[in-house]
Amino acid sequence: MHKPGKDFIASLYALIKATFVYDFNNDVVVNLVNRFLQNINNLFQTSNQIEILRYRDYIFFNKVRMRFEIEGYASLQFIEENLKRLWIKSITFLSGLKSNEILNFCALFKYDKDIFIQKYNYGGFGSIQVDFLTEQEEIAPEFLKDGEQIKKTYFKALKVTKNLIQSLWNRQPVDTRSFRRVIYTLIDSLSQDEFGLTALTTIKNFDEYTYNHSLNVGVLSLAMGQRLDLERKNLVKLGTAGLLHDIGKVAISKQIIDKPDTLTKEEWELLKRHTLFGVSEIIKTRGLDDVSFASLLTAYQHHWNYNGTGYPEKLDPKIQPTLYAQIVRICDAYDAMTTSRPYQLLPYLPAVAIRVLWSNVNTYFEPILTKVFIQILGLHPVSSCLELDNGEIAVVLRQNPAHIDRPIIKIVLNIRKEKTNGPIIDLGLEMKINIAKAVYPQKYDINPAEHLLTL
Amino acid sequence: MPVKIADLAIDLAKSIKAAQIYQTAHPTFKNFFNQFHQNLVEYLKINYQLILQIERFSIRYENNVIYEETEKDISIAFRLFRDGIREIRFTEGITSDEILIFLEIVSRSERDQDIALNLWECDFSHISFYVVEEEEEKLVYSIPQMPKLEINYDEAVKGVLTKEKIEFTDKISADITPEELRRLKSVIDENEKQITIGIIVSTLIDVLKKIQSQEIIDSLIEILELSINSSDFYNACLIVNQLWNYADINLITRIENEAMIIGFAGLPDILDDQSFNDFIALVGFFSKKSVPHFISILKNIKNQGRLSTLQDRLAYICQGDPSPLLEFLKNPDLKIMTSAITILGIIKNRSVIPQLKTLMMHPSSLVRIAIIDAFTELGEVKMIADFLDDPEADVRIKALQSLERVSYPTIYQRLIKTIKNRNFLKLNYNEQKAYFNCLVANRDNRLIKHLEQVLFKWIFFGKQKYLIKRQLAAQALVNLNTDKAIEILKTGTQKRNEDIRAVCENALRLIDKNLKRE
Repeated sequence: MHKPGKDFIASLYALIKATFVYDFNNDVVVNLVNRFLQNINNLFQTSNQIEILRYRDYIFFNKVRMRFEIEGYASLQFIEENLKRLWIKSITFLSGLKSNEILNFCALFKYDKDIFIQKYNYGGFGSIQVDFLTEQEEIAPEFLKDGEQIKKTYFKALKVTKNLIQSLWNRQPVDTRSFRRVIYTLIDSLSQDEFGLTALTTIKNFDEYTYNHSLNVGVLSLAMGQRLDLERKNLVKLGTAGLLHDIGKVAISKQIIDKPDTLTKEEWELLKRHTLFGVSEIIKTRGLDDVSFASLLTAYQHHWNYNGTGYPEKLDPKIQPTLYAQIVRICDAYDAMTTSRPYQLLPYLPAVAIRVLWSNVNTYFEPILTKVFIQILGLHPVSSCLELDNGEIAVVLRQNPAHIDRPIIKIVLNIRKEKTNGPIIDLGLEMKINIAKAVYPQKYDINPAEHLLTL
Repeated sequence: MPVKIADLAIDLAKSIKAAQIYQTAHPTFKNFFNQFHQNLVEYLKINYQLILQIERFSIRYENNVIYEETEKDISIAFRLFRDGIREIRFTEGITSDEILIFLEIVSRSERDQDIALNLWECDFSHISFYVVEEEEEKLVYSIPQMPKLEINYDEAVKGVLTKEKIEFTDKISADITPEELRRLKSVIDENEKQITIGIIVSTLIDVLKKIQSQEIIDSLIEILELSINSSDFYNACLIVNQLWNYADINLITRIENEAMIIGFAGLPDILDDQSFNDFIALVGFFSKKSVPHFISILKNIKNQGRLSTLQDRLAYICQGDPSPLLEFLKNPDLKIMTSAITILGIIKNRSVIPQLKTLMMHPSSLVRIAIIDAFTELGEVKMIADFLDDPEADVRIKALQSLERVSYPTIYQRLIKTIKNRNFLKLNYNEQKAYFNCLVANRDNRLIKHLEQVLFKWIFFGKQKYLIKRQLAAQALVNLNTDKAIEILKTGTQKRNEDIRAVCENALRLIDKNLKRE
């Protein structure tokens, strides 16, 4: 994470929380305000002003996006949630800020939106400028790149993944350069819009399951890696490992891969060998380097369970799956559960798949990593179709970092089950609206992808 | 004085152009580079970052064009733009290495290089860039349709919940506790260390046991070479051992070339014990063909223990066949020659005795000593005895030591005769001692009597020199430690001759000491 931004957000968070509990003369508050002022004065040495800006679910510190990471998550989540609640688009701190001014400002955060605005307008805050949202629709700040680029990146990656797998399937030369490039573009896109790219993984193309699945596992793994604050070079390894985890399937006949009926025992045994073939295919595709080492271990271990079971059988029980293999294990299972395949026409609902992961921690899945995964996708992942307690039907558009169980939704059917185009509701703010249950979108003839791709 | 962006832009443009024309070591490039580096660092100290926009034929800072070149073949802007780079950001803390690598990559003229990919793979800490995926044609994506089934969807949900034994109302808390965070961080730290080659090797071997794969065999061979080159002989052995059974691979022929083996020179002296043992284990897989190459590296080994371990291993490789070594018996390098002789001895193939005999008169004592060692291994005691007349003491001592090791009672008479001879006193102490040790080792029933004679002999001249002989005789009696030997020593303590008394008293004290120690 951006270090000055991370420290600044953390000190602001601590100060706001302290003003809720103590009076301004309390030692805790005095220490925190001194720390905050010292921090901000250091920042003023290289910058005329300090700006915190919120756009959608992201916070930008001086135009650099702050990433949600497991460390510092609480402070960033708090700031994001409160800026959203108070309809604040940005806060700009100017030099000359004094302790009283910042304390008075922090204390305003305990009020609701209207009182906050009123008190701010009459509070005489000369060194703190707040820019409020005037319309419900948020407008992307100029410096943020076009969201269309994320889609381009995703679909270009899908095309490259498809080419790679098809080339291997047909025993043709592989374009490894495009493939390597795709990994970097995915990492860049994720650092720009984590939720946007992960949302695209919910768009499942039934006819292209293998390619979709490989890419989705790659993207979801990268999102986890980013949340874990892995170094960039390790994100490259993880992303490649995720994309190539099932590559061994190219060595198995398509008739078996796409067989709509239950596999025979022999066919199942053969299918399980994709973990072994994967090792061979990765070497063939990438040669030997650190990235391929990480990928081949992942391909080999991604069906090893947390409790030591799984396949292929371990010759040495002491060997534990790598971090990458454990991450891919979770992402692979989730994406497989939520995708239609020839032998599973009706996939699990995303909310059900999340619960299946949760009910299998400590047996199949590593528990802490599973929590990280759920933090990213939420309990009702993007594209989920929800029935609200008022009878409306909605599609989940975005995750809400502050509330994993209350996403941002779009109403697509009204209470009479008639089609409607919105409104978009942030359930983190509209606490009176509750989710009754998750439903299959097919039940109401809804295609969530239509709502996601046309955002 | 603060650096102006306009000046910095000029420096950058000049550096790029210079990098296109000159090598990075060229003084002209260095001048421009140093100027740019210095100014950029100064600029970033104040401004934290410098963001440049890339357009088709130009590079801009804010609204000012700082570089422009419309000739596609030489335009840096065009090359960056073509590969999707739209923005480059330099941040505070940038190093000269980062700038140098950056300039080197962006100024490369290869048409087929992907600048974005090359820059990404450098993993810069202080240079970042924004890249877009441009398609020649507009990227078309259609909204996929979901398969519609004629089923009751609500019942389907219930069915899944029952099957998976879960409820929508199940509480899920994804909050990560500080302890969990600490554990996770330690897992990440562990992961961020390099993947050990051992895990890769064991995985590949594991896979190979289950499927036939030429790629995996080739990879293992590649890793084998890497392991050997990095002195990781444990994994090298693991791979060789595993691939040994694949007859068609002919693994060893791939690595037992002169260059590879010459690369081992010096290693035995610097490897730790475990690595050296692994190295010796690996050498055991090599064939006879490699022995000549190994012989040539033996001369570099200073650690005698490790030298003889390696010699033993080479003898093992020869499997009783001395032929790979014979050519070295004429080698002008004495160290190579003596190593070959030593290994021939270890092989214990008697067919080489005639060749070794021709070297008994070799002018170098080192060679003659090696011959004695070889004869000792071969059990050729009679020929060892011939070396007792060698002109050099070291050789004679070596011969005596060898005769002490092997049993050769026939030599007894010759030894006692030499000891009793007055010229014996002219020999150095080590040789005298070697004679007595050899005498004891090859004794017969006359030994006690002979030692008594030597110990109690009355002499009138050269008492001092003879004292050593008395001491050695007394020591021999101590070593024998029989009743008769002790009785002789006790008798000696009663003699009028001071020397005799002194050596006998010392000898008895030594026996007492040994007794107490026991």
